[in-house]
Amino acid sequence: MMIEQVTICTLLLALFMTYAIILTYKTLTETNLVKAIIYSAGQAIAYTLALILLAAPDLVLAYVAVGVGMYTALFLFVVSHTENHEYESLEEALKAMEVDVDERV
Amino acid sequence: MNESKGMKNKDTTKEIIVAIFASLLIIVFASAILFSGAIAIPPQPTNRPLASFYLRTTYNWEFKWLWSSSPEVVTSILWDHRGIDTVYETSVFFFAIIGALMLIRSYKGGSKYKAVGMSVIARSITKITLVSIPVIALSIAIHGHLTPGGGFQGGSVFAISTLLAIIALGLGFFMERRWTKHRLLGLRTLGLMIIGFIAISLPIIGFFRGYSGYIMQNQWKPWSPLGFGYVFNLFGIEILYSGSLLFLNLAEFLAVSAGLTLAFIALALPKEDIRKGGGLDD
Amino acid sequence: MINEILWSYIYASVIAIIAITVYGMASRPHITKKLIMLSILSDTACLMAVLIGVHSGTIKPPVFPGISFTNHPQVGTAELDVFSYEAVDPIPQVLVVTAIVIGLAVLLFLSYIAILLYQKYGTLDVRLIELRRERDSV
Repeated sequence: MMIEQVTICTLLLALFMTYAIILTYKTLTETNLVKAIIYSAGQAIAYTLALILLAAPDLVLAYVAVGVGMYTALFLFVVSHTENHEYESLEEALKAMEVDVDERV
Repeated sequence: MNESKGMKNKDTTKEIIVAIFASLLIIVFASAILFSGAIAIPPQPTNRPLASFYLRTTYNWEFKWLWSSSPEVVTSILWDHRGIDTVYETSVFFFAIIGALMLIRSYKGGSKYKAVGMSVIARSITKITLVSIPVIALSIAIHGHLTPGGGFQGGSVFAISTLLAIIALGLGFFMERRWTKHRLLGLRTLGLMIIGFIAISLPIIGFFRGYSGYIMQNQWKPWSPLGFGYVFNLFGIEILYSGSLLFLNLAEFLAVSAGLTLAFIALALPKEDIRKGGGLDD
Repeated sequence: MINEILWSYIYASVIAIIAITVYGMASRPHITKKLIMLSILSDTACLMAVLIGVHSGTIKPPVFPGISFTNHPQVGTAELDVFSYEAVDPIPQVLVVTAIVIGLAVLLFLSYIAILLYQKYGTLDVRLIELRRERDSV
């Protein structure tokens, strides 16, 4: 039985996609929005490393500037103009607002 | 209390239905792609015929009917073979910049901002990098027809250096130098007008001479014998400038850097100015 | 055998990221979280397009090497044959450059609208906005 040749590129590509899946799941379940934005920046760095291994140099230059730099700064500006916390259930949100708890009745 | 419990059950049921529907959609989509032959596991051993055609004819000096005189295949497909797609993409980006003006409609600017940023160490290092990053961005844009890069990549790297200056040196750094929204919008429109002028110049010249040219044409073709040329003689040295690719890359660099600078200056203003200047009050 | 397992894992992980982000856009109640998931979704679609164009063996980027402003030899069909066997497919990379620009434009526009929405309703939670609209329309 012959073992076929597995290159280092394929192993590294599988490793970076594993980083991307773990960071995407942590972005989904985080309720503090600044931490979620930093996790998405880490996921963008994993995508940049994967694009280098796939021999696409134009895309690396475009994606480092846009994906890692501009999206993170854009979302941080939006959070600074609006609010920072995401509430899971409706009761917590109403309690934090302290208004119109019973006006829906 | 009973109403809130009923609402919680309805929320959980709705989430389960959404999760099942999303997973069914993804499974159907993925199996359709797998069984139609577009993806092969492991990847196919040779290139597809269309890719082989583009790689063979873009820089072929023996067969000059289909070439674009540039060894960088991605830039020559972007600006020569599929040039009209790139013109439409640049105009879609223009609409996003107009959305930025919706926030600061009646904002007049002013020099009441002081340049208060971070500490002395951060400000000195940022002033050093503010010299080197725009030089690298301009180099990426000028060498766009010889090495990987181009107009959009250079423009976004320039916008990153502007963003760094806003955060580390304060907004007064730009307000003191009178970078108003009208001037940045004027630079953006100048870049777009240069691109449009290069796009329609060869059909108009061909109309007056009796030939037929087409929009975004780059080189000489036997059925429309007009072109931009490809070498330039400077004191005995021949410089390769690849037709219209060099000018299109420089115009796109100007347009993208001015537009993204305007978008980030509009976001970094304080809350009271956005509330008074944008306005849902009128 | 190991090669096929690794490539199946790579494709499966891309499809899993698409599934996670679509679920996240539909079920999380805050508008900023929905915008973050939308940005990850558009970038993952671009990565999948680039993955289709790769062939097995030695891969090289689609740029003919060694040309500069003053050094441009006349290249013929014999040297271009070797180049066209080894280089990667350039067409998905062209489409992805356009897709990155359009994704950035859509996200810029949506975040400006999110800031204006906060000024009108005072909150960015979708359920509370629904409650306030019901209260205002009664």
